[in-house]
Amino acid sequence: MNVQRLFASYERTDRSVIRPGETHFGFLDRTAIEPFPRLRQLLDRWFSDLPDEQQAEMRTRLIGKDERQSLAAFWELYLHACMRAAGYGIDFHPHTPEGKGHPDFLVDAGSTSFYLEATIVGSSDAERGNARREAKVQAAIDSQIRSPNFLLGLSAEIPSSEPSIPRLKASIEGWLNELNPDQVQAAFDQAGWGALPRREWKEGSWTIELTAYPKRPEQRGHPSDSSIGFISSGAGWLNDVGRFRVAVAKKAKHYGKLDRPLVIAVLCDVLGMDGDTIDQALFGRHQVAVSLRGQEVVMRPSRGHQALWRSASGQVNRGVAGLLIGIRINPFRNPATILERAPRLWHNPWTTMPVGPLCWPTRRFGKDTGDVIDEPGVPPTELFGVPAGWLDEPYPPAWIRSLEKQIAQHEKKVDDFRANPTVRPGMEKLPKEVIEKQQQERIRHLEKEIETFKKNIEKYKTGELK
Amino acid sequence: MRECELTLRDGRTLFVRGIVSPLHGFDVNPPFVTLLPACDTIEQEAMFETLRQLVERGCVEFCCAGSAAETFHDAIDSFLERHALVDIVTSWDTDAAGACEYFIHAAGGKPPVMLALVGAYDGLVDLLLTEARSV
Repeated sequence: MNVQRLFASYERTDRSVIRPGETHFGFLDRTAIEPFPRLRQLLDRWFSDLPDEQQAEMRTRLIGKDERQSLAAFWELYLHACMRAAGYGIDFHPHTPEGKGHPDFLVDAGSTSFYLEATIVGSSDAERGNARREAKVQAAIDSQIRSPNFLLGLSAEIPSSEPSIPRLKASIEGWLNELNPDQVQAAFDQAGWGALPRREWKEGSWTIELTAYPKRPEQRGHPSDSSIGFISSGAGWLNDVGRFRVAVAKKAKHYGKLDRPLVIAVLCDVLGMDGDTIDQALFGRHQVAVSLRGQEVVMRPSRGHQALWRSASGQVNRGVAGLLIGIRINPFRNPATILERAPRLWHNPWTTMPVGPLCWPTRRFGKDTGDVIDEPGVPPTELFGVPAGWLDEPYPPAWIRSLEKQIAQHEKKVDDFRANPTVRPGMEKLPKEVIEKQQQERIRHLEKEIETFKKNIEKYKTGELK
Repeated sequence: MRECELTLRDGRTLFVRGIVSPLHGFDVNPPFVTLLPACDTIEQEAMFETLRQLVERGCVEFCCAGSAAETFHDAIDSFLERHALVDIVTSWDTDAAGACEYFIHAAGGKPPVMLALVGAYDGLVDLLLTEARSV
């Protein structure tokens, strides 16, 4: 294998901050600001460990102008580095039994082997457009649809275009008019939530699932201000969790039936994703089911039906052994995240092809009990052979470091002067009190300068200086 | 001698002048900061009259750049302390690039005007303009 470098080798002196229009990789490639030189060193090592035939494509994707593609390329480089450090055998883009595409890696981890497919979840321009359309459609349903007897529950699949609101309105109102609220209430009282009428409305790439909830008798007969009773925001409308669920579901079905477990490695580069939201995306949104038994209000915890491991009809995506989830591991924005945030493997309790212990931290679930068992993995610092805090250097603007340097220089000067107060040339023969006064003035000046430098740093921290 | 006037992207103005007649055509409101060359060849004593005028016009910080920066800084401090001007800040960097970076990005809390008396030193002017364009 040839030893290739990702970054050109030359002494970098540019300490200016990232420029408008500059890519994060471009900044990383030219900056002399710590800890980016160390990050370059680490990425160079990982890059040189790639097979020769993979390096050109990896470099092209990393240096491209599309930040999302660049981060996706980093994620694959990172995963390869983890697995190589763990001693796993790795094949790139293996064939699959049904010939439906090539996952990113086939991994031989000794006691277990599996396919690994990498993906990232973030907000692209298209996704932000989807969110705007989603909000528009949601508002239209809420304000335009006349629903005298029912409140609506909504969830939706990926919208890539705007649906026809008049057609949606006619379809929903026609469906609601056919329903008898007394009959629906009776069915609900007898069989619970599963008895509520549901309807799926499709147009173009839109799929909207509707559930009709009967209003209380005294509220029926006239349209309320709002027709929507609730929105399935945990795993339906395209919030961050929705994007996560959709991205993974696509990958889960992409390769057909496989002969080995499939692990999907997801890098979540969005705010708001944490253990709880991932749990809800996998097992369903936490809900409180409320029902009336006579005059008694009965409440019980439940889960929503749209989830990666479960649907209304039972377990799904059972060919997926687990998800390896990294949350906001982004070296371009914060190099320290590489060492601080290990991805976690969330096992699928209902998988038909489980995967054995791996190098990452793990979360397992009891099928029936729901018990959570967490197991530690190999810490990233140990895996990559670097000391803790190696990439921790903060990233202030260059001038903050300049001020800190001035403070250090002046503090040394004042310490030295206190330890050895010298007499200014020409004052040697003046009275002692005059000399001492001059020496105090000297100390006061240096202290005043230090105070000024510190005040300017404070102004930066409070946003007064930029 | 290179003299110029440059408006930075953040709206601040940088004047580059020589030491000989630094205040010619320099009529701005205070506060401002001044960058001084500190090479061995500089006649430090000859510059003190200029310093006095700069303080009177509203200079709040003198930055010394070059191999003799620390010595020069001490001499300016002595001058200021002699005249009870301890509110004026002085800074130094023997590395010219570091000095230019500090001068552009941090000196004096980034006032709207910067005066660099380095016009006779091509290398310093180049470094300074490079740093100014990075703003």
